[in-house]
Amino acid sequence: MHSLIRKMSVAMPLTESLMSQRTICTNIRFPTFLQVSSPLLAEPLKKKKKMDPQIIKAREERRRKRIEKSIKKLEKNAKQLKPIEEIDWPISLQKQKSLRERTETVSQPQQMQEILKAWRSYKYQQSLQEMKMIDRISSSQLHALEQLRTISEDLYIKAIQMDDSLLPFTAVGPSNTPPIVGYDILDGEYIDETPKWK
Amino acid sequence: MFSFRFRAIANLSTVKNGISLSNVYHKLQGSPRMLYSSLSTTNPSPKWQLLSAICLERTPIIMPPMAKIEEEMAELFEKLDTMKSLKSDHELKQDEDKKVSASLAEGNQDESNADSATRQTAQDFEDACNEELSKFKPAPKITAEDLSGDRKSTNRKLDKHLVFVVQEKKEGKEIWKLPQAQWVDGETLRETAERALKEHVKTPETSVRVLGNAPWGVHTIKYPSAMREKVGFTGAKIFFFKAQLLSACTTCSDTEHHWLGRHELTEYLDPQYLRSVQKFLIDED
Repeated sequence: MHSLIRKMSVAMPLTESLMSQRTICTNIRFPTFLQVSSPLLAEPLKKKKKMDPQIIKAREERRRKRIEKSIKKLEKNAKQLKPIEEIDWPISLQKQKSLRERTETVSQPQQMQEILKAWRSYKYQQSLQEMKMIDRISSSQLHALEQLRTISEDLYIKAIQMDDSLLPFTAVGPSNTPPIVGYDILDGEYIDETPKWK
Repeated sequence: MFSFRFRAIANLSTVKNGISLSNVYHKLQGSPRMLYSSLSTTNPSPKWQLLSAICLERTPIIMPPMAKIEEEMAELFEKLDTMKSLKSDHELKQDEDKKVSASLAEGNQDESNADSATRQTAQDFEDACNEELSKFKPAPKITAEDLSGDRKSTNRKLDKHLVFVVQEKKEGKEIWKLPQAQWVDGETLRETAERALKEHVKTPETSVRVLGNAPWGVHTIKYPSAMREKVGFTGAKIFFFKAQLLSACTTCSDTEHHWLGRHELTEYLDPQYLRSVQKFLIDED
């Protein structure tokens, strides 16, 4: 071994100036990569423990039972539908139904009929008016577009392009009373109480 | 049929390539037109001055009062709904209270006396709720501007549409009109209208929503023949665009302006101009 090193150091006088005498090296750039034997990345195998076959059997049984149980649970849940609160009312209220029923009836059926009749014609007239209005507005727009087209085809084409910024359209509708300026809104905590159904 | 098809193709290609084929189309169309105009030299095709005007509206903030029939119907539905409904817990409690008071009147006081003194009756609860409600005062539907007759603010006629009009002084006359601007080459008409809006109204851009690229109406003015030769145009065409005001503005314009309801428009605008404008406005009674 010593003689080998000596030989190498003799063969490569250049390395001498770079490294100390005791370094074993074949490569100048990676000095410590010399390996004498091939790497053995393993250790002797452990002896397999012998298990009682009955214990193994019991363990397997337990595992199977656990899986079966979870399957049963899933099947049971599959039949359970998400309840609709508006439809099924609580039993306590169902029992009180007779207590809660009202006895009043329409006091003046004749008057009611008259109001309904007047209402129908009122709504009919209203919808007619609206149709007329929409017709008028759209014909006004068509007329404008036609006029524009006779003047400039280019401007017309630009005018009939879609305006994507309008969709989705939102409008804050009229309320019953106007908003109070500087109204201090009472702030509360928001808790979502919706039950979760799996 | 041919022209329609060609236009469709032109539109498609503008979408696809982003190049305006309409120019090509224009040139193609130009040739027969030129021929026509050269034939009829005695009656030259009219040249129009292009203008864009913007009809800025404040939409209603509160509901208009109900008509008589609407009120009657609302009342009727209220009645029918309660008739079909079941009694609430509160009503059950009221019934119970009645029974208790009846039994008290009969004379067996000593039994329930101690209990009834501390008990909160349904009526007590109702009174407390009503008291709480009376403390809340909703904002009045008739504003100070309504009472003072100030037409410059948007805070008036809350249940109606308001249209923005500006005053223009021309040859000593004061003319009221919608804000308008002259079309400049290279602009679309909508851009012209938006420019007119910017010139007259000082609001952030987000608070105004222009409704669409297409004009909603047009108004044609024909110049007298003396003026025709001077200006070089047969007349002017004003294209109207609609816009909505999304937030209130009290001092949003330097120029002389008004926010007007439908009926007030008749006092300010020229009758013919008004007819063109009214064609695309939403009805109001």
